[in-house]
Amino acid sequence: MKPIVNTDHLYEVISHVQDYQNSDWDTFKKAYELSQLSMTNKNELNSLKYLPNLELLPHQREAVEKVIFHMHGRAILADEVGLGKTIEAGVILKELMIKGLVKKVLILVPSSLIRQWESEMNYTFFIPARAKHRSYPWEVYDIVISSIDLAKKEPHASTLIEQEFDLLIVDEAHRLKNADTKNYQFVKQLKSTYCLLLTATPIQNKIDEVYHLMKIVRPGLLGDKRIFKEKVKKSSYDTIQTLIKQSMVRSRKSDVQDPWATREIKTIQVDFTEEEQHVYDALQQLETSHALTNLTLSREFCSSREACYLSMKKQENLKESHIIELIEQLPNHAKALKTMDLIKEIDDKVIIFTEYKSSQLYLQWLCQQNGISAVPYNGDFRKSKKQWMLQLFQNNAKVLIATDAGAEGLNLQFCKNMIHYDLPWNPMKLEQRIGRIHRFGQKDTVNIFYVVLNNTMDERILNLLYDKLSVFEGVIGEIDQILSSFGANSFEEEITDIIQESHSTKEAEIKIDNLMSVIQSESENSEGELKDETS
Amino acid sequence: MKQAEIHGFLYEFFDHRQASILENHDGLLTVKLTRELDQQLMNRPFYWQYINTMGYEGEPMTVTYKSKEGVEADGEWIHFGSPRLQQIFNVIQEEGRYTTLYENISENTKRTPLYPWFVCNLQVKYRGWYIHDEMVSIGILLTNGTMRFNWIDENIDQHFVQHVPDYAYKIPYIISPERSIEHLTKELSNRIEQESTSFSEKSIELYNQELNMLDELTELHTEEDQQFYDQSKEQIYERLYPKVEVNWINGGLFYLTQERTRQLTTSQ
Repeated sequence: MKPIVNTDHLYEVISHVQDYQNSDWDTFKKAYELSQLSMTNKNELNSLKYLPNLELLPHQREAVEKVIFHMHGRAILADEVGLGKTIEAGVILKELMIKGLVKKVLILVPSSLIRQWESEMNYTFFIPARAKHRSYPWEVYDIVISSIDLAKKEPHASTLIEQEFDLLIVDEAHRLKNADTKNYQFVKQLKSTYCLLLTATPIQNKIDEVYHLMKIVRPGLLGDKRIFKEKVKKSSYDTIQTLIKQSMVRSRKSDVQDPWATREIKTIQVDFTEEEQHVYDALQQLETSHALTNLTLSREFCSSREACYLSMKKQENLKESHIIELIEQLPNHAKALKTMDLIKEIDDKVIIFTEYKSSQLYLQWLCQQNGISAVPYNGDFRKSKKQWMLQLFQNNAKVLIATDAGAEGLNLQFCKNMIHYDLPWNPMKLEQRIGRIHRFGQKDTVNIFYVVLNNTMDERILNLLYDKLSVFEGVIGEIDQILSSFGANSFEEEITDIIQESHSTKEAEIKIDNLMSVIQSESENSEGELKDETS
Repeated sequence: MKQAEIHGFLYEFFDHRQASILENHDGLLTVKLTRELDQQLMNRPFYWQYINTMGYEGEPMTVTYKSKEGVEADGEWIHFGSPRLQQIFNVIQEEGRYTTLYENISENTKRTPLYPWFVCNLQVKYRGWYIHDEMVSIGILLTNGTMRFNWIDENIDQHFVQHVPDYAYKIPYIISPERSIEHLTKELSNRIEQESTSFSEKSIELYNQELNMLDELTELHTEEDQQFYDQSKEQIYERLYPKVEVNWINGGLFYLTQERTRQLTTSQ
């Protein structure tokens, strides 16, 4: 068997000899020696010597080596949040460039992350990547960063599909998990020799979502869709995992030796005022078409009057309810006031997370009333506004009030304090939030605050769920797929069902304990498999 | 290249190209560029286009480069991997791409013939199962076609000059450089094929394995499916099929004395 030997370049140079000036011996020798420096060696990462200021952590180095040497440049990078997927992708890109294999690169990221990618590629990796500008056509860029939302639109999509890229990088690739979406169809059509999909949540809900991601990265690895589905039914979760691992790198925080700052977790307890408690109780008794509504309204009311009020106003059968009047008369919200006190006590920058945009607005107004400089951040903001808000937070403001949507991928290591104004019901969401500040590079202790209203849904969730969070250590990103392998709903849906259907706290507690033990035993099984495989 | 070597390297680079060195301390170098260096390094084509059109002198820039930690001065930090250093490398590699040189026989008093060697320094890049570069230097004596591997390493300590030394004369070549390239690629290809059997076998094994997996996808109903199949095949071929690319680094004509030529053709 013979390789294809291509000597075209020699003939090309020889036919243009007359265009070259004769160099002196010294320069000739130097040119030769410099070329020797740039020769790459088969079992070595050659890019690292070009990046003297970058210190790869062991798991990052391992990931890069796996992708380059074993996966031959096509992979899903699925490290848990905060472990440095962007760094891994940057080194892989750099390595492929230095090896002379990659010149044309398309990087698709959420629009909020474009600037961050651009500056990271340029300053950390000295890779001249540019954000797509509307005045220039795609063809002029060698390495271009864009949002998938822009790229998939015409006329961009057709232009991009025509081009042949050497490397395609898609960040937050869980946005591609659904094969019927335009996102997926578009990315699938892009022609690229090498390919990296980055996601912290590779299989959020159903195991066959990974099938579609894998089809882009390594078509055929999981076989035909029908065959794969049957395989999933017959074989265990772990057999599929083993197969997937051939083209997926995944480090978990719990596996990675922890040179990290520690987390200090504090729970701040607040009581509703009498009037507020009255409204809350009334909400419990409220006649609604569905029990779920009571639950939702109670949760909202635990966050702010506004959140609950707006959602009642939207519903035909509730908008005339007497409770609305009661809410209107409330002067403020005990939890928000307590939060203001807490912020004042913290002599440093703080991030507040809330689930509701109306609470976000209220908190911002309240901060202003209290003379605290605060900026909002949510998924609806335009790219430039997001950038600006972050800059304000870093340089001027004390507080960033964020919603979960829009905060993904943010790197806010300069902040050490986080207040969970509402408690998310999915531990993964909580982890995503904390990952914004508690990530590699954070050297200080990170302070996490839960603000909880006594005798409410808040407290129930705290007791039922948060005391047992350690169960999830190491599987936080996989809770949902573990559940789905049992045919269960997502974690949040399961919790909602349990709380809604249980007649007593005791009952809810038992049900949640059951749910957790299922996750725990399944995660222990797969840990066991993992170890077998590596030994 | 170590960080400590960078200062000396930069100094030599600018000094060699007649730039005025304004400041030269350990790790700190301030240089007034020449017109040519400014155009090569400073990336301001519009300025120079304007200057040239207007027939002005132009004012080349003064630059300061730092290459040692702790140096207190405003200046650009230069390290291995920094774009500026890469740019300077590129200037050297571009300038040093081709040459015609003569063995330096400075104290020569009698008529001396110089024999033509065509020298190619090549990068051989393997791509497939692994990616690996090799440097190959081949000299061909253009009077009889003798081929010498590792030519550059054998001659790196010699002295060469750009003009024919006094009393020396060039023996005309019998084989043209263009012809010699044909011999050379044939010989090189043979060697590569012989030496890379395990690389080829392993690469083709991987290639076939991926192709077979791809073929298991049966849903090829639409034109889009077909397109996806084709582009996947292409991508697999690009990455895994064993390929060796031979690239020109630098080379040219070297005229050597009979004695030196004999040393090279007889020694092993």
